[in-house]
Formats: sequence, structure tokens, C-alpha cells
Amino acid sequence: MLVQQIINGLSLGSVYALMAVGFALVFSILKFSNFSHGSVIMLSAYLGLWFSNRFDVGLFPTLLVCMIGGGTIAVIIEKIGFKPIRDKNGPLIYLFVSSIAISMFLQYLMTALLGGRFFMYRPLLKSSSWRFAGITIPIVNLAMLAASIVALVFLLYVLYRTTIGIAIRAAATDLSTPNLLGININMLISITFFISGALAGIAGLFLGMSLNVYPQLGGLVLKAFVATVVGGLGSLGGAVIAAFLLGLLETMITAYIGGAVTPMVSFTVMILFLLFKPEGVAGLLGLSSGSATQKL
Amino acid sequence: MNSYLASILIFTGINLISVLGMFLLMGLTGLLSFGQVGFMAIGAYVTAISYMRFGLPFGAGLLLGVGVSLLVGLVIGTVTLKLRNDYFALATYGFAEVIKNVLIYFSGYTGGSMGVFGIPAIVTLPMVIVIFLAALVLCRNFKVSKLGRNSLAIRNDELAAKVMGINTFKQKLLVFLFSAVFGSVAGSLLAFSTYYIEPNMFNWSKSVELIVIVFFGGINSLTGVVFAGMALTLLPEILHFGAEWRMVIYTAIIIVTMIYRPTGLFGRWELSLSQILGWIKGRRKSAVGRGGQGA
Amino acid sequence: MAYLDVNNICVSYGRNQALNNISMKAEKGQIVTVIGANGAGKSTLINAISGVLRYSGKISFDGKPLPYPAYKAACSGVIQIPEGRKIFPNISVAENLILGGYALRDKSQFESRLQAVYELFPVLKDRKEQAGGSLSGGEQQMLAISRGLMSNPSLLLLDEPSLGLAPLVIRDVFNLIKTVNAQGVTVILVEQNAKQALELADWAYVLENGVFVAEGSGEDLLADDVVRRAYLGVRDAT
Repeated sequence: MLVQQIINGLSLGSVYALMAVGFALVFSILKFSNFSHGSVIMLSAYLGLWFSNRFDVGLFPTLLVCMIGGGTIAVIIEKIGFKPIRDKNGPLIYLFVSSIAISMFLQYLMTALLGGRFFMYRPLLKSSSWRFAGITIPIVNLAMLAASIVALVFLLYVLYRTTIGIAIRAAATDLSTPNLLGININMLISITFFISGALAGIAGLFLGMSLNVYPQLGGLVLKAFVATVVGGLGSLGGAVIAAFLLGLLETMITAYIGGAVTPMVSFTVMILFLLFKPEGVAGLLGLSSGSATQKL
Repeated sequence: MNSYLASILIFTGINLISVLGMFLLMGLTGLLSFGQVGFMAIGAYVTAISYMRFGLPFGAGLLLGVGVSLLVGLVIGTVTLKLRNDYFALATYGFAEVIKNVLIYFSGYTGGSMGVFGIPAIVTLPMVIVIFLAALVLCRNFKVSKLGRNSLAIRNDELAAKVMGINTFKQKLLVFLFSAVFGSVAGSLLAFSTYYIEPNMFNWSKSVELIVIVFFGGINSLTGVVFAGMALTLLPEILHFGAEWRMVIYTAIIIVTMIYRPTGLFGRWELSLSQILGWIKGRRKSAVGRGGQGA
Repeated sequence: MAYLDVNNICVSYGRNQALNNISMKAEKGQIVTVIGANGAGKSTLINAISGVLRYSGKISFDGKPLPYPAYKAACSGVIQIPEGRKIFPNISVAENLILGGYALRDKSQFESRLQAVYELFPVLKDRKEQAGGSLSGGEQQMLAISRGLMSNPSLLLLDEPSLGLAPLVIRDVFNLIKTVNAQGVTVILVEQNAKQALELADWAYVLENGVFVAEGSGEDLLADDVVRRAYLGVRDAT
């Protein structure tokens, strides 16, 4: 039972981690909380649903389409909703408010187009659960965990082993100097949004598969927000760890205390964390963001 | 007056009162709070429960709500206003969520997710207008007073404000409590004009709506914020074709404004009483002039 | 036409005119210095040439119009070493250099550039795994210059490279500029540290309130009374 809950908690946490890393990535270079990230998750879930039904394909092609689709949507949002404000040197808070307005717009747009109803993915996986030594784990949770870990490792590779990735990390402390080295900063920002969107695409597909697809699905971005802040704003490593902890905590509370108090307990924990460890998990582990010692 | 119109105007007035609270907090002081809706919930529930269960009159319940909000605001503000602004935003969001969940969880008093039913519609349009005007005058005086300038200094550069000798924590706490009172009063009025209240009326998205209105009107213009509050509350009512599309259009208008007029519709422009009097005089003069020509 | 030909450029911040009809030239292989007091418009000039700021007027480089904005200018071989060094503190020294090589047209040159830079600054090789922010001020300036050299630039624009450095380190920096120049890189050097900058210069300009008030060879300006009084701290000869 406990093992089962831990695995379920980790897989929930892994999806939170995907969302949180994408969220933290944009935060790290543009320094604002991008709530439109939730819309990318929601739209990717719809995209995956449509694609898998229309072409009758399995998990992997759908995953690929969700990643490319999510990345593209994120870039389009950046170009329409943020770049005009950046070009006018608008304060960061405008970017933040714009991101909220965009997420509300897209949520209402999908409601207007398709109604508020829930759509269900047809089974993309062969079996629905995995039984082993008396424990039962939904296969979708395992796939979620595996895909998230692969995606996070790949992200690690991009950020540390490719020139573009290094540039993204450098831009986190200084957004103006890369220009002087021949790096097109607008392109770098677009790439960052694409990566962030692709991760949101994976999260959207799995969230859609396990929670069904509906216009408010993007509201789950709040979990990413919580994880990012608890992790220490801008620290990707802290965000990942905090996301896994959040997933575990929520699963445990739901399993052992009851679903009704889950949000209350996790928010109380979060507020306590903010009060007593405001530098976040990253500060706790010496991964503080923006400083000379920044690690993923 | 037809009752539909009256109810829309009451709703708009209530919304404007909470918008004014958000203007003080976010427009003037630069504090981003998702917690405004939490104080609305406190006001609404305290007033409603004390009326329905303990027979306390509406006015007393409203004041009791304000008292509870001040107390809660003092506790929440003291612990969260020392945090960085982005952490403060998150903590206030957590506060709003906790309030909502407390309302759902302690269902013995609050009716849980079903909410409180059968609240009499005591609130009238004149009552809302009077309270709104009082709140408006308070806000306006706040903005032009030393307190308002302290707030602006904090918004522009908190460190510099500190260096200039402003007790930034005290100032922020003061503004936070002001906005809590505004929110609480709006919540009480809301409860006694909609017949029932339920936790889902106090979602964090309600706070977001208030934030958007403040930005839409312009963080530097009280006039702009009031007009934006009216327009954006009435707009969904006016856009009556296809209920599902009106929110799409509403949000699209907001996005376009944010992008093309990031200082808000009104920028720094303020409408003053003397200006209005000037217009009226001007019009009278020209009317007299025309009369003279005719004769 | 000169190698770098700046022709009547103007830059303004809102209503304030920061540069007013500036024209200057640099021949290939020269060190051209611009001296001036704080706020004279030196950084503005550097930022206009390197495409960070919008300007009116024409700048041509190597017979062609100089590309705008900054990243295109950098890719065409015009590299600015910014004031205050602006190395990336959170990534390693080696990673700073990798980003420096971004504008390299022929990527196969990367390794040889890296070796050349390490030869010039052995200390950077020793510290290549360290975060850029952990270096001392002088080392950071070396890293900033090395990062600029990684892309094999034809024109190097240096903005106040001696700012905030100890006198001994300043000497090293100026020696380094000479070495780099000897390898065929044209240098535009903007400095408040007038004496050492003029000693290095093949040609120099004096900038005051957004206009050039004097120009000449480095030696001539060093001997010029007005310049001596205003920029070299020499009192009236008695």
C-alpha cells in the first residue's frame, strides 16, 4: 500500500516537475510568473486528444505531436502576448498580468468552442494497470514517470551540453550581454518558450489521460507555481525537487487523511515554508538561484 | 427602476468597492495580492452567519466582518509582508485557498460547499452608492495624502523608500488592512444582495479579475480604475449575444489593451471635481452665448 | 573609404541628444582611442557602433554598411567588450568562452581559438571549471576580453577596460590590447584613463558633451595643452 502510494506520488510529482521546470525556465530569463503556461498544458491536452482519435495512433506519436504543438503554442503566445510589451520595456508586472489575461482568454475560448464538458482519451496504452507483489499501479502513472524523467534528463543535457542551453543559463543573470556575442536574444527567448511549451505538452498529454480534458485543466499550473516558489524562484533544480515533494505530499494526504483537506494542508505547508525557509528548497540544499554556485 | 437594472448596478457598485481595495494595494503600493477574495469571503460569511444564526442585524454583522477581517489581515499581513513581493503574492494566494477550504471543511457553520441559503436581499442601490462614494473619497484622499506618496515610493523602489525613512513594513501593513476592509465590506454587501453564498464564489480567479481591472484602468489613475471597473463589470452584461462568447471578447479586449496601451486606458489622467464643474460652467456659458445669438 | 567609417551619427535618449553628428574613422590594424569625461557620450558611441542603440547616420565597416542590431554586428566580426566586463557569473569560465565562440563563422576554428586564448591567459585554463563570478576583477576583465576574442573578431570595441582595476592590472590590460592589436585586430578603445589610452593610440578623439572637440595622433594629443589640462591632470606650466 505504502509503496503503491509512493510510486503514485512520484508520478504525480513528475508531472508537476515537468510543469514547474517549464515555468521556472521562463521565469529564470524573463523574471515573471508566466500563467499562460497553464493554457499551453490545456491546449496540448486537447491537441493530443484530437490527434490520437483522428489518426488512431498510440502514445508515442501523440507524445511527439503534443511536444511540438505545445512548444509552438508557447512561442506564439510569447510573440503575441509578451514581445510587444518587452519591446516597449514595460515593467515585469505587465507581462505577468498579460499572461493571466491570456490564460483566461484561452480557457474561455475553449469553453465557447467545445463547451465545458469533459473529454476522455481512448486508451493509448495496452494495459491499464500493473500488478506486482500485491500492489497495483496504473500504467499511465508509470508512463508518466518514465516520460518525465527522460524529458528532465534530456533538458539537463540541453542546458549543460549545448551552446544554446548554456546561453539560456547565462541569460538568466544577464539578458543584454548575449547580444554582444552574436546571440539573437529574441530567438533565445523563443527557444526557451519552445522548450518550456514542449515540456508543458508532455504534462498536458498525461494530465489529459489521467484527469480527462476540460477547459480548466490549465488551472493545474498553480501546482507549478507553488513548486517553483517553494523550490526557490528561478532555480530549476529546486523546482524539480519541490514538485516531487508536492506530488508525494498530496498523494499521501489524499490516501491517509482524505482528499478534502489536501489543498488546505499543502497550502499550509507552503506558507510555513515561505515563512521559515523563504529561500526555498534551493536555498536549503545550497542550490540558490542566480548566484555563482547555480546548478540545475 | 427596473429590478434587473438595479441588481446589475448593485453588483457593479460592490465590485467597484473591492476594486478600490485592490487599487490601493496593487495600483498605489505595487503589492500583488490574490488574497482580496479571501477578505470578501470573510465579510460575506461572518455577516451572513451572524445574521442567519445569531440574529445580528446586517449593519452590526458588516462591522463584525470588518473586525474579523482586520484581525485576520493583521496576522496574515504581519507574517507575509516581510516576504519578497513574489512570495507575498503566492502566500496571499495560499491564504485565499485556505479560507475557501476552511469554508468547505467546517460545514457545520458554513454549509460546506453548498453554502449559505436564504439570505435576505437587504442591500439596496442607494446603500451601495453611498458606501461606494465614501470608499472613493477615502481612496482619493489616501492617494493625494502623505500616505499615498509613501505608497508610491514603495512601489517605485522599496529600498529607496526605506532609505528615505519610510517604515515600509508599517506602510504596507496599513494598506493591506485598508484593502482588507474594502474587501470585507464588499463581501458583506454581496452576501445580502445575492440570496446565497458558496465557497466557489470566492475563487482566486475573482482576485485576478480585480487585478486585471486595475491594470486595465491604469495603475496610476483612480479615475481610470473606477471607469474600468464599471466598464468591465457591465461589459459582460452588455455583450449579451451568446453567453459563452462574451467572456472571450472581454478577455480579448483586455489583452489588446495590455499590449497596445500598457499604462492602462487612462494613464495618469485623473478626473477632478473642479474639472467637472469647469465643464458644466463651460457648457452653460456656451448655451447662454447661443441664446444671445438667437435673440 | 576607411575600414571603419562612422559618418554623421546622432543618438538621442528621448529629448536629450547624447551624440551629435559624430564622424570618425579607423584604418585596418589601428588602435583608435576616444577619451572624454564621465557622461560625455563615450559608451553611447560604442553602443551605437556595436548596434545596441539606434542611431541616425551611416556607419560602414570593411566597405559595407555595418549590420544592425547588435547580434548581427557581432556575427560580422564587430565585437564589443562592455563596460563593467559583464561576464556571466553563474556559468563556468569554459562556458563563458563557449558563448564567446557563438559568432565564430567557421566552427572548426573553435578549438584553436580556445587554445590561443588559454595560451594568452593560462589562469583561465586553470580555472575553466570555476564559475565566472568567482574570478577576481582583473581575471574577469581578462575573461571578458578572451570571450570577445573567441569569435575571431576583426574589430574590437573596448568600453573602459581599466575601470575599477588596480594599477598593475591596468598595465596588463593595456599590454594585452597591444598584443591583440599586433595580431591584426583593429581596436576602438574608449577610456577615461586618458594618459595610458593615448600612449597606445594611433589616432585619438576627444569627446565632450556628444561632440568631438579635438582629434589627432596619440602623441600630439598627449602634448596638447588643453588636453593635458582637462584630461591628464597637468596643472598650468609655470
